[in-house]
Amino acid sequence: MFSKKNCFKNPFSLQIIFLYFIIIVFLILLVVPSSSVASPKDYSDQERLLSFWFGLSSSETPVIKKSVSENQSTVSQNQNKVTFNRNLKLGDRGRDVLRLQEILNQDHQTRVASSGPGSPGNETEFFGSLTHSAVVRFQEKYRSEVLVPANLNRGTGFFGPLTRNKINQTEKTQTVSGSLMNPNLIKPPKRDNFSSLDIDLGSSDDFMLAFPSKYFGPHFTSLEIIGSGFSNRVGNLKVLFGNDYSIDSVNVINDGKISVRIPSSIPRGEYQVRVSDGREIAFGESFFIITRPSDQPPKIDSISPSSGKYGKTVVVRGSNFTTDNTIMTTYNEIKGVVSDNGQTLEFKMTPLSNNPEVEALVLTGKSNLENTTDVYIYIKNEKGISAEPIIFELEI
Amino acid sequence: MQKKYLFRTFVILILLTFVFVGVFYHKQKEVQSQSPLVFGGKITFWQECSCTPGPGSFVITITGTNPGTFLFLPGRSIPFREYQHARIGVWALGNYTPGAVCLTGKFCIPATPPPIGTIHQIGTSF
Repeated sequence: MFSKKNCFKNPFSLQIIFLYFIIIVFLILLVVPSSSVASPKDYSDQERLLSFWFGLSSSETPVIKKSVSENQSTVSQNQNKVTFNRNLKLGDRGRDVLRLQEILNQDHQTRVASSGPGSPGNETEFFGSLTHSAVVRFQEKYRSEVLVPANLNRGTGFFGPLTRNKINQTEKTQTVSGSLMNPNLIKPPKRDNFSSLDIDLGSSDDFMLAFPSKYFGPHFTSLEIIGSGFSNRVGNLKVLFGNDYSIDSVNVINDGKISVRIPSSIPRGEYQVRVSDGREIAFGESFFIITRPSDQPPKIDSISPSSGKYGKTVVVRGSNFTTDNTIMTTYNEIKGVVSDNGQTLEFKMTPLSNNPEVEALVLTGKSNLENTTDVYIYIKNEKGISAEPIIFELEI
Repeated sequence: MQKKYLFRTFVILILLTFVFVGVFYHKQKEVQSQSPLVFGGKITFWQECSCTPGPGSFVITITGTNPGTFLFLPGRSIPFREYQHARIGVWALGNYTPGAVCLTGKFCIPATPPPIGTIHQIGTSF
């Protein structure tokens, strides 16, 4: 019964059944990719949360750096031009996706969303179902140039070569005509989606200050503070500026957001900002710099050298520097850096304060580690904070 | 004879059902384990992982709404504005995938507290 001869003659023998079983398992494991069961919905909650912070910030505040990730399309420094050179599909991520959404949002027929993530000013780096639908509408709008050459009747949502060519052309035309000066593209990030953020993080009774809507501005600036636990403290909230000043007139927008107007009674300068309900102070703190109305914040044009080890002397060139600047890096703050001419700043890349062993190896040249890490640098002074960071490649 | 074939066909169908259910469950779990989880709060601790995973990597401890200790791995962790992801005192928000190791110091011992995941994306306040 179990002889080889019998076994292969009879397709229902136990051995053959077992063989079928092994082959089928193998084939299924090969054929079923992980992504086939990962729908865009898997990311939707994450996306709602992350678009709040990442999508907006990264789109509208580009970093001065020579290149972006190799697997993404080329994004220029000013973000107003992009050449799409990779295909995009559902589930993809990247700055090129964000730029694609921005372009699609310029035409009401191809708008990604009218509100929330993906809407004008709220573009994200995720190619989800909304982007897919918008690409379909774009393809159908330019049917003769995108669909007809591919013998298609309906849009597919796949951002392939024909669609890319068309959108590259569209963007070129719009750049020339100036329609890319859409205020949606240049306005500062909106941070009014905190209610959805709060939900995603889990509604909390915790009394917290997360971050302000801005970090500097003149008197009478309207300042929003994002946090949590505000709504059940209505009437008692105060925003403290340093130890000496308090703003009692606090407008509670929702449980996660309050706003105040900076009164002229508080002198110009930088203040630690906290929120109090009269009994306790909210967890977390931030800062705000009250500037003159005519002040222009520091601006960074270049850094030289753009890479080096700890201890390297670095020169930053730009404008609106003062005699008392703070270098804000990814790792630390370097205070009291003087600029004599308002256009150059010189300082040393200081070691990381809490890892002396590694620093000692690096500084004495005994480290056998060969790697670089990006250090993002901002300049802060009495006039404000530089809008864009510049990157120093730290050799470690 | 027909009964015998019917029985074996039945066995095949049962086995195939198990295979399909098992494979899809496995894949679903795989996807779930790769889906990032959220963290958020104030950075209260920072430590470099000088041994493993290597230079430029570090762990941060977040205190607040969604707390924990997380590994920042250059090349894999994507920083966003305001890029202050290694500074104590700033507010950070991001997502991570479970699983991380950080060995540090002269004797390459595990960092304490140990990281619970590797940061995928992180944005910060100033």
